[in-house]
Amino acid sequence: MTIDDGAIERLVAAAQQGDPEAFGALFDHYYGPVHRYVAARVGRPSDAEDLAQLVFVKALEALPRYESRGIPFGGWLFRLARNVVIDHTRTRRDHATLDLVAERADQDDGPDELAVLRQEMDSVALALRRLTPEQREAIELRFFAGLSARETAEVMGRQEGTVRGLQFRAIAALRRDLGIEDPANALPRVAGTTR
Amino acid sequence: MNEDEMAIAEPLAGEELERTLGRYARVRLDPSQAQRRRARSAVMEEAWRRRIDPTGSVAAAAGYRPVRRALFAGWTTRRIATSLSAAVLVGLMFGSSVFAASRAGGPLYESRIALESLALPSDPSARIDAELAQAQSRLAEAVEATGRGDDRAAVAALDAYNTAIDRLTVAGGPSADRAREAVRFHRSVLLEVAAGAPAGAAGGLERALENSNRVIESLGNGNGTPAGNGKGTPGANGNGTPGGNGTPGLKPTPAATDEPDATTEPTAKPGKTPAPDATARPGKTPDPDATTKPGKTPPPRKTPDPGRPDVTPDRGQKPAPSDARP
Repeated sequence: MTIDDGAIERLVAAAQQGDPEAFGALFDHYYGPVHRYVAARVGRPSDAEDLAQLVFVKALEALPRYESRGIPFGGWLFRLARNVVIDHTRTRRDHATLDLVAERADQDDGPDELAVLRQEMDSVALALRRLTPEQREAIELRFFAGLSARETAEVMGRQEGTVRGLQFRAIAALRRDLGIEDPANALPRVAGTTR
Repeated sequence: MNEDEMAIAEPLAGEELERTLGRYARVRLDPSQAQRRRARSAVMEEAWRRRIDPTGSVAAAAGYRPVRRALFAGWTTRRIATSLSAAVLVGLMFGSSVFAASRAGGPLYESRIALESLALPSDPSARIDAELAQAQSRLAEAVEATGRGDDRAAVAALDAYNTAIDRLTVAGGPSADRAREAVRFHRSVLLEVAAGAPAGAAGGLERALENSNRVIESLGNGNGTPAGNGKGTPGANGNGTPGGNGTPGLKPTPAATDEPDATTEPTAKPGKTPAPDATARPGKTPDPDATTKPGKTPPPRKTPDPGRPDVTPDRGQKPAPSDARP
């Protein structure tokens, strides 16, 4: 489901007035990205499910105190998610790696396709682990959570330009590790042409 | 590309890298439909619960139920101390007002007297002592009120005193003696007080003096001995206290002049009472001539002196056989 920023603000306002259905719509829009971000951060699927749910319960609790003040709701929600993950990381040390995460491949895939997929996923996971923590978080927020550079900067508490630099270097590192060479399609465009 | 260019440019991953990262997210990071349903159901339940009860919390969603707290469990030490101080202050204020109201002349004075009367012991002797103590207390209240110039309190205390000594008339035996001596002492105090009493209390003092005189007479008659019948010891008339009946200091007082008999009678009687008869004298001092009279009991026989064997026995008496032996 794709909704624009104005619709999100209206849903947020309705949810603040106590409309559960409006909050349900926000949940439907943000649950997938939040779960991806949390899963990328904590690794264990069961933890990711619990933490993603906790993020929305905390959002429900804190929503009456939410004020836009130029901060997009997505940035506010992912900052909540980031704090939840940080709290979880502080209390639990036995994190499973992404290699142990069960893969959800298409049911039509055969054994050979599954083997290739697993190898590709392992390579991506390895490349991600080689990034610096900030580069990896910038990639997780930009590509897995689908946030804009501004929202990512808001979540990470950094300047937007800093986030762009982190993202640029992370992409270069991933290309290098994954053997992807397509400089013609990767030419930088002026900021503002994309979200 | 330098840092500035990286900051203003939108870095693109490229089609292949975006597709790879998208596939990675879909395969390893996306929630399953079951996970999504579970999470949605839990979150919506919490959302609806909050709509019903806006004070609900995350803990409530996790099954937390508030524990019923005990009474005063939330009270802090400071709150408890403040409450205790307030309670003590209220208690002191209430106690002070009750005490003030129960003083002589106060609205609760008669109630206090009645309560004290209810608490009297049942044993006759102990009861007389307690009633004497009550009368003494009433007298002290009257003296104190007179000193303050409080006519109303003085009259109330004197009325209570009259009631207290009226109860003493039933005393008998040693209790009556004690009561009589005490009332005499009270009377001396009343006479002393009457000298400087305010005009408003004069009537009450007069009644108290009359009543005390009547009680003294009653106690004296009831005991079978006239008042002041030889037991007018110095303690009776003024056992170390000023005044006393017939003392010079009391004569000029109005009360003393009102009752001349009362002031003179007790002190005169001990002086008038002659010494009792001499029936006790023979027992105390034996007659020295009694031993020489022949018809009376012979004197005890003296033991012979061993150093004087030639001593002869008395006339008309045979020597003892032991004495006749060589």
